[in-house]
Amino acid sequence: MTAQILAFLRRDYLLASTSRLALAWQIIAVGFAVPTLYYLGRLIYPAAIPSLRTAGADYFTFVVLGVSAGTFFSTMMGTCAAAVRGEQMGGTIETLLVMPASPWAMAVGASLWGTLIAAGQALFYLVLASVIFPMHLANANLLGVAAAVAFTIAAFVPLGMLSSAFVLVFRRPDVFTGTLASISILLAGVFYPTTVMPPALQRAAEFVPLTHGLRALRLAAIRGDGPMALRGELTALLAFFVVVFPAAMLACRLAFHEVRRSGGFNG
Amino acid sequence: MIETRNLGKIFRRPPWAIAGSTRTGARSVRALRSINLNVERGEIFGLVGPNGAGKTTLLRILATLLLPTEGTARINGADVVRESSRVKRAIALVAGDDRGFYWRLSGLENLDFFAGLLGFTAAEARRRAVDALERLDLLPMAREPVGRYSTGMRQRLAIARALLGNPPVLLFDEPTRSLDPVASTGFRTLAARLSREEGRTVIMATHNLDEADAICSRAAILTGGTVREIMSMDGAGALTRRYHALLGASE
Repeated sequence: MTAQILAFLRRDYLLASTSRLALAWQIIAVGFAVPTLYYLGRLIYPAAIPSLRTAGADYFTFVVLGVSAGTFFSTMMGTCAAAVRGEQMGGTIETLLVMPASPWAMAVGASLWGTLIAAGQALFYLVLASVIFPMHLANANLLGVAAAVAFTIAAFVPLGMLSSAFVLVFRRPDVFTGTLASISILLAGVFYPTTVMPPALQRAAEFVPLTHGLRALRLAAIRGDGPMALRGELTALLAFFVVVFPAAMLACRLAFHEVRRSGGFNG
Repeated sequence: MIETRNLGKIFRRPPWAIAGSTRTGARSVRALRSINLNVERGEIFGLVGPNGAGKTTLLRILATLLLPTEGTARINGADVVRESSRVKRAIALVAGDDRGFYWRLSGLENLDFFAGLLGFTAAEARRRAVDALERLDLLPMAREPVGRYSTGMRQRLAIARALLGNPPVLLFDEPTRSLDPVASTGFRTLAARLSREEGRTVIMATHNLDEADAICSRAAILTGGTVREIMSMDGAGALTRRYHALLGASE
C-alpha cells in the first residue's frame, strides 16, 4: 500500500511541476488574502466575539483561523472527488481500476497531494498572519489544536467519500463539495461568530461539522483549551463521523457496483 | 486458465434515466448472450466480429471492469466478480484507444507510476519500466512527454505497461489498430513470444482477420453478442472465408 501511495504522490508532484504557475498562484493568493483580512479586521470591535473576548482575541486572529482552516477542510474533502473527475476526463480511470491496488490505497493516494498542498496553504496563512501581522496565538494549546484538526478531518473524510461516489456515478463535476462549502461559509462561523445569526440558523449550524471544528480550533488556538476542555466539540465531530461514515462506505460500494454494471467510467 | 459459462451482459437503462427518453444509454441493450469459452494456458485466442459484436464487452468483463448480467467467468480459477482482486493480479488489459496515460508526463514517468500501483518499490518500478520500454523499442523516447508520442507509440507504450507486472494473462483490444505495418509485424512477433516462449495466455479482439489467422491458435467469431463459431487457425485463410460466410448468411 505504501508503494502505491508514494506512486500517486510522485505522479501528482510531477504533474504539478509541469504547471508551476498554478502552484505559485495558490501561494500568491494567500499573500493577498491575509492583508485584506487584516485591514478588514481593523474595522471590527473585538467585543463582537463574546466567546473569545476574555482571551483578548481580535477579529483578525478569529477570521484568519476561520478562513485558513475552512479552506483546508473544504479542499481536503474535495480532493478525492476532484481526482476521480480528473481521471474520468483524462480517460485514465479504467486503467487505474484494472490495477491490483486496494480502493483505500487509490483513494488515499489520489487525495494526498491535494491535501498536502491545502495544508501548506493553511500553514502559510498562519505564518504570514503571525509574522507580518499581529495574530495572537500566544496561549495556543498545541494538543488541543491537534485534536481539533484530527477530529475535524475524521468528520470530513466520509463527506469526501460521498462526493467521490457522486462523481464516480454521475460523471459530473463535484457539486457536493461546493454546496457544503457554501453552507459552511454561511453557517459555520468562518467569517463571523455563529452567535450573530438568528436562533434558527444557529441551531442549523450545529449540524454542520465545520461549526464544531472551527469552534474547537479557535478555543484551542486562542484561549488555550486542551482536549478535555474541548470534549463537547470533539464528541460532536466524532458523532458526525460515526453516523456518516457507514453511509459513505455504502455509497462508495454502490457507486463501484453501478459503474461496473453500466460500464460508465470515463466522463 | 480462462473459462466462461453462459456469460451474458445486458446494459440496462440507469434507474435515474428519464422514462421514454431516446437518448443514448437510456434503453436496454443485450451485448452478450450465453458465451461459453475455454482458453488454455499459453494460447493466443482471437475474438473477431463486426462492430458491436461484443468483443470489447467480453474483454472488459474478463478485466473486472464490467459486471456480467448472467453466467460466470473465471481466470486462473478466480471468479471475475467475487474474486476481482485475484483476477487483477493475473491480467493486464491493453485497451483499443490511446487514452489511459498522463500526457504531460514522460513515458518513463507514466510506467514508473503504474509499476508503483502494482506494488513495486521506486527502484524496482524504474527497472521494470526501463525493461518494458526497451522491449517495445521506446527507450529513445522514454523521457519525452506522452503528448508528443505518435498514436502508434502510445499503443506500444500501452503494451509496455501491460508487461510491467509480468501477468500470465494478457487481454488485447485491437492492439494493432493504430500501428503501421512494420510495428504490427513487431507486435505479432512479440505476441507469439509472449505465448510460446513465456507461456502467457493472450486473448485478442481484432478486426484484422489476417492477423488473427497468423498468430492465434483459435478464434471465436462473434456476431450480435453471440459466439457463432470457434475455429482453429490453419494460417491459410479459413477464418476469413468462414467469417464472410457467417456474416453473409446473417445479413
